[in-house]
This record gives sequence, structure tokens and C-alpha cells, in this order.
Amino acid sequence: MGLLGSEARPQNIIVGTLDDVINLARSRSLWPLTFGIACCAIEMMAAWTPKVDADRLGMFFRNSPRQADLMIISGTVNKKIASRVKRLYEQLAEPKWVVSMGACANQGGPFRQGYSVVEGVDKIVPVDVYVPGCPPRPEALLQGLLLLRDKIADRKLRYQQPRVALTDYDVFAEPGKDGRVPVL
Amino acid sequence: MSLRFKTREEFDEVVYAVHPEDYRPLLEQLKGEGFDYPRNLTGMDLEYGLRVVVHLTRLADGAKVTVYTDVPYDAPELPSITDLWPGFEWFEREAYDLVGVRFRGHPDLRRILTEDHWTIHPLQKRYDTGGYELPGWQPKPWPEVADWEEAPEGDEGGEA
Amino acid sequence: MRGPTQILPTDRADEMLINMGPQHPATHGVLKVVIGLEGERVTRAVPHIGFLHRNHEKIEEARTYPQIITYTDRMDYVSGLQNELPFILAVEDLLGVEVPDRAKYLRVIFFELYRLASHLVWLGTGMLDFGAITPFLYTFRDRERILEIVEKTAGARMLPNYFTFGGVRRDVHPDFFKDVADFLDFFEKRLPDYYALVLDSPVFQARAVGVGVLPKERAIARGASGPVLRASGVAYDVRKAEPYDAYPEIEFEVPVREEGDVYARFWVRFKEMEESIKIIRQAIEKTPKVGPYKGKVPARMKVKGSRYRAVEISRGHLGAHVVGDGTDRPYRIKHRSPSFANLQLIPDLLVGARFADAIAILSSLDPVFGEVDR
Repeated sequence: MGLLGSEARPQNIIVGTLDDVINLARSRSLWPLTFGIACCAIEMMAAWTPKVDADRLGMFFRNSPRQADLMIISGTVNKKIASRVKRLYEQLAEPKWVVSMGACANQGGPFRQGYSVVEGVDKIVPVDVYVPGCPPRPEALLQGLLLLRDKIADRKLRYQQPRVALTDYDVFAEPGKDGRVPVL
Repeated sequence: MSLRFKTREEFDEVVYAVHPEDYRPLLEQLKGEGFDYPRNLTGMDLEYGLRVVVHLTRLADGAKVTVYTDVPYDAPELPSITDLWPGFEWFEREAYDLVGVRFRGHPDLRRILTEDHWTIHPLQKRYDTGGYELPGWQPKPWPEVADWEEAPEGDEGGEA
Repeated sequence: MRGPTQILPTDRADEMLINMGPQHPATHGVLKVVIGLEGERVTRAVPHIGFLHRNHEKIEEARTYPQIITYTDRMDYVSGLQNELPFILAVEDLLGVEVPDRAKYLRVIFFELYRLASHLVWLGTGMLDFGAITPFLYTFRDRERILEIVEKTAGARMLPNYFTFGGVRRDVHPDFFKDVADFLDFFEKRLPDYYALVLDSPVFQARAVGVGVLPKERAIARGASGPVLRASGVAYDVRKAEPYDAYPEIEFEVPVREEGDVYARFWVRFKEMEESIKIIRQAIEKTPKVGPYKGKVPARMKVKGSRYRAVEISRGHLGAHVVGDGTDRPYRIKHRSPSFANLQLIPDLLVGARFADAIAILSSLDPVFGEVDR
């Protein structure tokens, strides 16, 4: 599949499409943003330490969203921080990806019914990979990141659209005034 | 003037049920007795009013006291005790934010955990877990004998 | 009032306001501090919390007592298991449950293992703030070994949900005591490395000695606890003041230092790690080899009454105020978290300090936002 599957010539010349070359470069140098929210952030850190060592995949944390192209949502997103998550997402350099890590970021997790918890980060930003678990093991996060690499390698640049944060979820509304119904 | 309160022993601490007007004088007295460490301040909703529970300890000998008082829904006000124990500054802000007790004389009584523009106090029992008002919720009547009053038949004031 | 960030007005031409956080690599989570600067000096510091408010207390009112243990784990997620204890102790008091000896000692061993794990995370991430990356890689390597031991018995790494009313949830793995002893031997050899890397390093001392001094009276009045309080010369440790589980039968010291600066807070945590090793060794020796690991608990728990219990977790005095109304769900639970009280010290410590030291001071307070915001 893609570039690695192409026919390799003896002189180390590889033939592929432009899509393949660009996607290879992008998928092998994903730079995540340093943004830990809750419990999952500790396991996210553990994924970058000697036992699992995600550094060897070419992933290095960047402290500024302008220099990063991947955001790992590692924890519960509540209504107070949702606007910041949205803004950080908008500040990421295009093309950008989001990994939702753990039950809380996926759908609210054990705190789903709470009055100030957003029921999944995909209500406010588009998500590429969901990693289940509470919290997921570092190995689980690593597999999620590998899945994201495969996903990037399959992209067709021709159909690519700029990605924007979602707007139909009012993160500033308080319960009872947001027009939503209680979740169960 | 004597303070209106009743004491009882519960496990290893002395529990004071105090009239809201004597809440601060009693705590001033306890501060004078050397209770210097602020352990905890809890605000809670009892469905007839709001309760504030203060837990204190004395570092010297480890003695522990609990003080509580109730205020009605229509006037949920208590004097602040942040000048006695500055450690209660955020605890009072939290009790205001989540339960709705207003502390007079607090230096900076803003919401702390929820957002500034919210109007609900989500830990009140009139709201469900999601913060939506429960349909048909009615407050209970104020108890005829409050915990700090002498009961007519010598009945002990019970905890909710 | 409606909007993401409100900048405080400033009426001074020479003051610059900086928004630090909620996304900042050195805030250990989602703390926002608005810092006013005059040159390099901090003129004011206004902390804003609540960015991880997960409605613990409201959700727990709608859960049964055994279900709540899972939630308490997620407060101070760095020292996960320790959070279960104050709530469990309070409910045991109200129910009058007896805890068997073996369970008491097992609880102590797990409690102190998590103190080691938590202090290792603090040391690694704290030194990242100082610009040192090496301790981070070393400490997380050692922490993995603790988590492997816990996983063998409890089935989960970080948030194992292992303690329960009347004892622990299941008996330990047959290799447990040997694993722990092996780890302690290994870790004891590692500690001198950490001393050399951090505490004895002149580079670290130059940044930590005399920085962020907290006077004793202020620390008590603000309700600070844990290493922050003990570094200011107050020997208050809940394990000594209101002993729980098997702590009365175990000999250990409470490290205290008088200076109250960043260095003292680091020193106290280092000494606590040494004390934890001692405590675990004694507990392994004294644990009854056979015996029940769980006491008798009523199948349908009807809890009535009000009780406040506290324990000494890695960050200090963690309390749980449980109010039951005689049903199987609590009427109100309030968690008193140490980091919440410690963070009130931010204006005290930061104002007047240099801006670069603000990071060092924050990392010496060691907040965890799961329990600050709950």
C-alpha cells in the first residue's frame, strides 16, 4: 500500500505518486501538542518514556500549537475548557489531526451525565482516531497513533478540504438555557 | 449574651449545631481556643434550606470540632470567616458556586469552578445530575425544632 | 461576562499582564494564572481553576456506595489508589465495619507504593519545568515497575479501584511480597542517582534555595498540607495526627524542614520516599501470612449519619465528608483536596518573585487538577 509497497529499484530509487511522497513525510513526522487535561495525560506522558517510547516514531511534543499538527485530547473536556480546546485546534498548522484518548474524550466517560461535561470532544472538533480505555494503556495510545499514520498514508490530496472546528455546540450555555435535553 | 448552640459527641469530635446569627461569634470563640487549622468547609442543600459545615482541628493536640448551621433559601447569607482562617477563602467561593450560600464580607466572592456567567448552583437538590431543573420539585418546610434549639420533649436534634 | 478569556484591566503603564495557561507545559494540567509583570518581577498573580471540573460531587450523589470508589480514584489520578481511602474510612465508620489485620497492612503497602509512584511523577515533571529532561525518563522507568506490581494484583495500572469497604477487593498475587521487596532493593539503589541529579546538583540549588519562601504561620492559616506545610516547619501529618489502618503499629519519621523554600519542599518529598521504603518493609514483615482480606460488610448498604475522615496522600490532607440519609446512595459527599488548599498560596508565593521562578514555585506545590477541580 502506498509508497512502501511500490517497486524499489536497485539504486534506491522509489517510484510513487506525489500523494504518497507527501503523505509519507507527514505520517512519519507527526508533532503532537503538549496539552494534557486529565488522568489520560499521565499515560500519554508514559507513552513517551523508555518503556513504550513513541519518540522512535518521529513524534516530538511541541509546546506551541503553531508548530504542531496533532492534538491528543487526553481527558475530560468540560464546558469551561471547551472553548480553549476549540481555539487550540484552530491554531494548529494545517493539515491537522485529532486523537481522542480515553472514554471521557470519546463520549464523556463516567462523567457523561454531569452538568458541565461535554459529551465527547467530537461535539466541538472533528476527531480522527478514538482510543478506548479509562485510562488507555500507553500501548493502546501507541496503536491509535499507528492507526492514524495508516489513515494519513491513505489520504488523497486532491480531495482535501481545510478542517474547521464544529460550531453547533454552544460551549458557553449553562444547563437549562441551552435548549438541549438531559442525556442518560 | 449567651450563644445559641447545642453540642454532641460524634465519633472523636465535638459537633456544634449553632444558630446562624451566632455562627461567627462561636467560630471566633473556637479560634480563641486554639483551633488553628482549617480542615474543611462543606456547603450542602437540605431541601428546606442550605447548610454550612465547618471542620477544624488544633495542631497542638489534634482535637477536632465540627460546626454547622442552616440558612433558609430566601436569605442564604452567612458572615464570612476568611479573616479568621484565610484557608477558607476558596472553600467559601466553592460553597457559593456549587450550593449558593452567600458569604458577607468575603474579599472576592466569585464563582470558582463553573463559569462566571452561570446562574444556577448545580449542587442544589432542585437540579438533576445534568443541571436541569427537576419537574415538580418543591422545598420542604423548615423543621419545627432546629438542631440548635431545645426540643420540647428533650428530643435530640437529628442529622439529615 | 460571556466569552473565553477576560483580561484584567490594568491602570499602570509599566505593568504587563500575561495569561499563563490553561494550555501551558509547566502548569501540570489546566491551571490558568494571570500574572502581572514589572520587568522581571511579578506584581500580581490571579489563579483561575475549574477547567477540569467534572462534577464529582453531583454525580456521586446519584451512584451507590460501591460505585463511588471508582470515581474517587479519578481525583488525584497521579496517586490514584490513595484517594479511595478517606471515603472508604468514613463509610466504614458509619457502618461500624471491622477491617481485618491483613487488609490493614495490605492497604498500607499499596498506599505507600502509590506515594512512591506519585513522587516519581512529580520529580520527573517538576524537573522538566526546571529544564532537565533526564530525571523524567528515569523516574517514569521506575514508576512502570510499581505499576506492574499493582497490575499483577489489582488488574489495572493507574486507577485500580482496589480498596473496598472492609478491606481490599481481592487477595494479592502470590508473587506480590517478593516483587515489592525486589522493587524496594532496586529503588534504594536508584535513590542516590536522584539525589545526585536533583537535590545535590548545584544548578538546581542555585534555582531553588531561598526561592518562594512560605512562612509557617501563613502556611497553617491557609490550610496548606502535605510536603508544602512540612517544608515550612510544621510537623502535621495525618498518618500521625489521626492514624488510620496499620499506621499506629509502624515506626516512621515525619521529615520537617524549617526554611519553607522550593528546595525544602523538594527535600521533604525526597525524605518521604525514603520513609515510604521503610514503611513498606515493616508492613511486609508484619502482614499476617494468612487471614481474611475483607471484613463483613452488609450486602445492601444503608448509610445514615455524617462523618469526615482524612488521610495523608502524596499531596497532603485529603478528606471526605460523607452524609448519608439511610438509602444506598449518599445525600452529599464533599471531597476536601490538598492541592485545592495549596493553590490558594499562589498569590502569597508568586507576588514579588521573579517570573522565571514562578515556574519553579508552581512545580514545588505539585498540584493535580483532577482533585483541585473535582
